[in-house]
Amino acid sequence: MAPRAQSTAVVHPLVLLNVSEHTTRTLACVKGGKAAAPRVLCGALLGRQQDARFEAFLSFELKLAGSGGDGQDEIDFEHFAIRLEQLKIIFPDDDFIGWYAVGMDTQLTAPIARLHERILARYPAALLMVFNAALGDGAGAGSSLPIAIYESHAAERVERSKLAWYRAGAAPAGADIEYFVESASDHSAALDAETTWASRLASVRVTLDSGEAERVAVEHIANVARQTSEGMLHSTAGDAVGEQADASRMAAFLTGQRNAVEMLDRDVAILKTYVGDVISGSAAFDPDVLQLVQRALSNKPVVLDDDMFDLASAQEQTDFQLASYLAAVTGAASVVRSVSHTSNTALHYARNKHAPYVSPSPADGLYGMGAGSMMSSFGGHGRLGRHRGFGGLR
Amino acid sequence: MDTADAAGAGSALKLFELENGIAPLNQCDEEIYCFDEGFQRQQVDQAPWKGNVRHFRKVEVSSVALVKMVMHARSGGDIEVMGLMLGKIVGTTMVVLDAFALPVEGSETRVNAQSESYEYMAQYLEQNQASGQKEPVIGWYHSHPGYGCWLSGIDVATQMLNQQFQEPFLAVVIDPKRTMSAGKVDLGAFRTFPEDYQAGGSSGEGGVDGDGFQGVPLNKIEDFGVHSDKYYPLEVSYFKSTLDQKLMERLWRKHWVNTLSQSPLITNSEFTTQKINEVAEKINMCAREGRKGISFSQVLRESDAVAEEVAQGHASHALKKKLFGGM
Repeated sequence: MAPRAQSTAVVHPLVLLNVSEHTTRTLACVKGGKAAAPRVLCGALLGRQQDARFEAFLSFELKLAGSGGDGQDEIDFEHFAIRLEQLKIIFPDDDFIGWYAVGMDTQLTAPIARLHERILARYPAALLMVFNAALGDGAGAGSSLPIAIYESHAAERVERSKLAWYRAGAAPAGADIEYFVESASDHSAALDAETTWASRLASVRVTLDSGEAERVAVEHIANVARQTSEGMLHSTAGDAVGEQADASRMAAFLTGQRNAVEMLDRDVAILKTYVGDVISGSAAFDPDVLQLVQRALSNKPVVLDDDMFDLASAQEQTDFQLASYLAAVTGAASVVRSVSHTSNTALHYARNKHAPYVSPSPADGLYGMGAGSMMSSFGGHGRLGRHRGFGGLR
Repeated sequence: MDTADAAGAGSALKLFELENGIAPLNQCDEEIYCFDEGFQRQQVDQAPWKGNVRHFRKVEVSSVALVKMVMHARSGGDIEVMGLMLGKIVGTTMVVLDAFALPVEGSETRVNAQSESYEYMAQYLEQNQASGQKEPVIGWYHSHPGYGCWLSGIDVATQMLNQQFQEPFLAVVIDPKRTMSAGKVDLGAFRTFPEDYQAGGSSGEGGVDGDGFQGVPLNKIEDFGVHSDKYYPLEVSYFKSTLDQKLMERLWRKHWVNTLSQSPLITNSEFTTQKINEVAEKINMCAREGRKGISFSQVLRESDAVAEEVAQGHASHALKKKLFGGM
């Protein structure tokens, strides 16, 4: 089969977090003995498709029906339809684009393939995302996203033996196995006993994207949110963690920037080494990678050789300095105010003690307001005291 | 077919055994994410909040609930949006585990759930139960785009009603605009006092005082001041599961590009201007009449925040120039 243009699947962090929550909650309930283990943990992906680009924004859980004794999993499409309709009221631009299943790696398993077959019967273009819940700490595992996304190619004629792996429930052999899933087709007349119509599942390129609000929220989780800990629910208020994070927002910001630069540096170093190796002949020549490098390099001057950039940057510099200046002036004003408050208090204290010796404070001007409010409060107290005094005398 | 089924069931079982073995899940995750219906009902029956109006002191928000709420709030733009939170209670802590949006068309300054959204809510919860998500509604959230996290008169009335009939119930307010401008989630959680309850005088011991809030805009300050002694804020913290934590580590490897490419100065320029105007107006008011409800220290904090945000934006610009300039 001729290679076709590869599709891209864009996944939003919300989807991954949602799957993670689904997994954690289900596992917790199973371990806590509050629910039976489902045979497949799965859900639907919502998003948009444009040509060969899929973008998954949301997900929701799918309910399995008939996962009882006969072991034939079937998706509860009624539940699915209601939930889909509900979410489309709020997110009218998003539609069903595929589904996810949780596994211990990103390989397909027999139960997942069987469910995929059911979904393809209704949605021939549905994607399949397999989420690797193991997320081991092992070396080499830490760099990539824990998901694989498969798309289904058009049905083709395939030997039945290629479908045997999931029909028999056996794990697929080898890493490079081609996955086929039987698909309904009305060409069935042309088949013999040895062949059937099936769709080949090919993994697509996966990238990550996030909206601006999503980014802030995700960064917040990465930096501020604590991992669940012992007695977290029972500790009393007054946690210092939040306050510290609050006190040094600038530090947190700079740390974030520094980490990002570090990542950039590391990636550039990798590319540099690779290009060096290619030049010296010790690494294989990969036109795709080199083209990407070339593109990145040629992108740069569009931004930089522009005088407008310098101009804008100078303006921003001015804005920044102005804002700092304003803040400083406000700060100074605040200090003056508090000094005036203090001295007014002192004045009043002094006047109450030695009334004739202190000149009256100006009614208006700098001290005016503070003095006024002070006076009224002191006056009030004084009167109150006198009344009480009289009452006592009487 | 029998062998196939047995094998299928076997591999599913293995999946969970494996996961329990390798454990992206630890004991603490289990305590939080496992929903114990009996325990919850017992707590609701005891209703300790009836005796103590400030019974609940802390709110724990899960990562997924936070992202959902912030994104929903942001998607509303200048319009207030609202939704419900699912969760449970443990002692004096309210745990928000999940959230979902409601189809409520808020006007610019008020949200009010209409009857069709009640229908939507009921159906949504029914579907949740069916798919095994057992947590009940534990509160509502709505957005205050650009004017900070506090409860308006209508919000207070809504929340009081809910606390009468839906306990335990929590109100969460998110300001998506400030979230974006500060690059930091701006969220507040509140509970109201019963109607006949007198918060401890004007001493600030009851209710909330203006100092706790960054910048209520001038046109809202009256609304804020009138109702601010009718509710109290809860301490909010955020948590993530062990699996979330591992996921975040991996996400960061893809995410740093965004950190470098974003430009807070440009996306927020309008909002920054608005806030500077706001600060100027408030200073004027302080100078003229020393109106109640605006303390100067609050204004100072606001102006510092603006300056800090601009400084951050500028720092990221300078960094970009250093990195990519002059090549």
